[in-house]
Amino acid sequence: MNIDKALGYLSDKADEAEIYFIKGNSEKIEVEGKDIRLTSAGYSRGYGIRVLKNFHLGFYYTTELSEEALNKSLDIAEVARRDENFCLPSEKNYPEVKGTYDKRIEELEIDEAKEYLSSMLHQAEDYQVRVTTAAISWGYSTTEIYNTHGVEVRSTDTDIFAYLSTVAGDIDESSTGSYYDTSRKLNLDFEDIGREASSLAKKSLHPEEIETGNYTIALKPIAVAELIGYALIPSFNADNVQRQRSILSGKKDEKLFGNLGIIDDGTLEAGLLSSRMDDEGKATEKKVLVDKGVLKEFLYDCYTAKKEGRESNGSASRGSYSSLPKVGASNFILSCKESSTIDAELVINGLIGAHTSNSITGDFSVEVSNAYLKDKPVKKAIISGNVFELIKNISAFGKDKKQFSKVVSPSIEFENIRVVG
Amino acid sequence: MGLNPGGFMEDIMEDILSLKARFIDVCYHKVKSTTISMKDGKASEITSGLNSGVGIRILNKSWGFAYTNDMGKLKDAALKALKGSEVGNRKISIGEVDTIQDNVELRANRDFSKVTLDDRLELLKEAEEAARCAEEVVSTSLSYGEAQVESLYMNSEAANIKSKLSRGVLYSQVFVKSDGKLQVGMERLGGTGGFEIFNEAGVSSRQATEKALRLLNAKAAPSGSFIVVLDPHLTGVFIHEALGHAVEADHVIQGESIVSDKLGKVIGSELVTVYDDPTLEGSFGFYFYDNEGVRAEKTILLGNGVLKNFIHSRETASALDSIPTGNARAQGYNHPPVPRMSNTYMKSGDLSFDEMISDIKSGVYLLGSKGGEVDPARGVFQFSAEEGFIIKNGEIMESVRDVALSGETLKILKSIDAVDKQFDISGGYCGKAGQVVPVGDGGPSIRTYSSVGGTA
Repeated sequence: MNIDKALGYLSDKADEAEIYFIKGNSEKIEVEGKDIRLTSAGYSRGYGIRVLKNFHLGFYYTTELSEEALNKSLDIAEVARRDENFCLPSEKNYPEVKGTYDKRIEELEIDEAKEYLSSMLHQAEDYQVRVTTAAISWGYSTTEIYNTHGVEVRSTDTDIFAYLSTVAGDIDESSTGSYYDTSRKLNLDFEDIGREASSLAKKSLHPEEIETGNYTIALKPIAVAELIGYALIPSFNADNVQRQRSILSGKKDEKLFGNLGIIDDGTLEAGLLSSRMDDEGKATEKKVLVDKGVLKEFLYDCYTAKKEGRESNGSASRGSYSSLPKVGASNFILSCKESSTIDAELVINGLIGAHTSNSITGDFSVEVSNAYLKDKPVKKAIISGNVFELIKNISAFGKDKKQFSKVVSPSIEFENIRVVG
Repeated sequence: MGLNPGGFMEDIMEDILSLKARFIDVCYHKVKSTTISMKDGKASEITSGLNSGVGIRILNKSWGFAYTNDMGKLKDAALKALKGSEVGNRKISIGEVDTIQDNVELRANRDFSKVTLDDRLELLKEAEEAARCAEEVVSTSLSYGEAQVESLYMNSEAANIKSKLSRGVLYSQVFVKSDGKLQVGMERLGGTGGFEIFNEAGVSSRQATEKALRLLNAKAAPSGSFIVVLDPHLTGVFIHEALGHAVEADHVIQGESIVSDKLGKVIGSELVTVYDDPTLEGSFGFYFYDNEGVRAEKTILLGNGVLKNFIHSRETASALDSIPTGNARAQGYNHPPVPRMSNTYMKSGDLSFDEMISDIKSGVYLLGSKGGEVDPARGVFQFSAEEGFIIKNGEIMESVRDVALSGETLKILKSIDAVDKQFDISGGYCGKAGQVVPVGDGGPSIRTYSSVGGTA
């Protein structure tokens, strides 16, 4: 059964219906030690069928579009509880989003990827560190969304990811370093990834204890992304705000974020989360969430928007064709007046355990990795505090802006942060 | 309907197995799932679906792995795997195991296929009412998930294993508010079998509320080095994160483990004995055979402080001159198997909890886990407790919140100086190498010395 026919079938039996379709290839090449251990190649596709019947929602996913699958989605709508805020969008105008597809990635062959891999591994040799694991993975996918309100939109995306993890030293004393980068285009600097991972391991040998106390710290972009991703982004989700699960509930127009600006931009050129449409077919937007420290806006999908009688701002996202769309951030961009230099005494490259942060209160307590006190490696340290307080303590904002997962940020310096040695 | 009617799948897989290679295995996986999300008492989001696909692994000069959920593209996938197996230049061998032909199904008291959607909704309604046991409750989220998994494993050594089991999990999340303060309590219930997994759903959701209420009155925790007592959940998380990942043999081979040269050596206090056991019936990490067709078995990891075994796939066992332990696991057809834990737990001791804390002048008692992470090569871990209490002069005092524990695995293992007689295992998901698999972890309450990071 094709999508047109399926939508026709559903429109007779339901008030509103949507078919989400994704298909794609993904490839990977993995190294263990010095050699390639495994290559992986996959093709998969799937459909998510969403129907509304008198505001009762039904959802069924499948790899094969059939009358049976459509009926199953309708059956679920019979038993699910009614919620008048359910709705599907109508949309005609989509923004032009650049840099999200690169033909060279779609056509990338293993032999070429092998060369990129070698250029990463060579750096490890130059730095005399051992490679533990390394990988390059890349993928190409097409997403299509159709609904009975006339939505008919399609997007073709590519991405590539490279990773290197190394160990310096010997069995008696060793240190680790890892680095990764992701891009929508075939423009990753593989040598640089190799250099970062190798130099971090090497620089971390012979660490020293750190005294417990308050320090001025700098978080590198990967560390910022981890902390912000888990401790801050959930507070902007309108579903959390409406259900009183966000500390930002009822605080619009309050100055809560010092001098920080935050923009969530689904249209960002070459952004890792960029697309012309969100995952329910609404046009994506550039949304100013925080302007000079003042809270201005939250992230809405159609459901949470309808609850407040407003429009969605294109923030629906789904993990895969097998799940319902939910509110999610796209490219979450931090901005502030840039400083000429960052000279924090404690520089932190990575965090361990950021996912254990309290997403409601913003409290966090995380272990640092590849951290340096006045350029000397630190053995172990916990930094703890509250992300909303942390932001008020920004004392310098770097120029090395970079995107890791959703967050676009440079290195950031914070004053007076509790460090437990 | 059983797996692959008429042996259709088996015929296709036989074809793939006849390709010329050192070793080939093929795994067909079919998962039927249902999820229900009940927000504030309303089960308005129900999803269901079916996904099936095939993963092919071919060994020559490297592993070539390929997968698809489009049966029309299986042949292409097989050829890609074959091509991929020639890309490397590595001497990979795999450990010998019994070649098994078997057809197994996990017994269920109430088979999921005989339970209606209304039965499931009724269960959630009761659990939600149980969670609304206090006026401070402002919001509840119950999230129910079940998966009925059928698989067929075949390899070029003539293994042929059909397996069928179901797994269920219920997350209760309760938000409470008082004096402008907001807190959340979480509880998880999970297991393998049938709908009977959820018999205690109401007890579980109510515990989430009780936890949230305690947190409302909890103070920010202190920071520093303390005598800490971990409850069975946290003991389990510590064992899983800090020791379990370090004994996964791929980490050992990659030089990413602090215990790589410690086999047969003392690495913990003599009170510490640890097992990995996928055969515990009903447990979340249960399975019959691993994803290489190796029979699941109980493995001793640490015996009275001495490191006894690593956790192996066939490949890692061969590389380290050891025996496969039945721990090669994959998330699904779309991932190659890697060494993973199943249910990992510490053996209980003789003390009562009161005896264990009686001589603690000043310490912290930590309960429940919000998750953790470990850097296995450095042997440094971090995990967060859901709640804690101050211990003063042998007694449990005021409660504290947002407290993390971190330290060096080997130091902590050696500092364990008391183990009580409780025992509990809880289920959860573990992520590694981009794959998530169900696991269980647990043990008794233990006493040790560690860094604690609070927000006070």
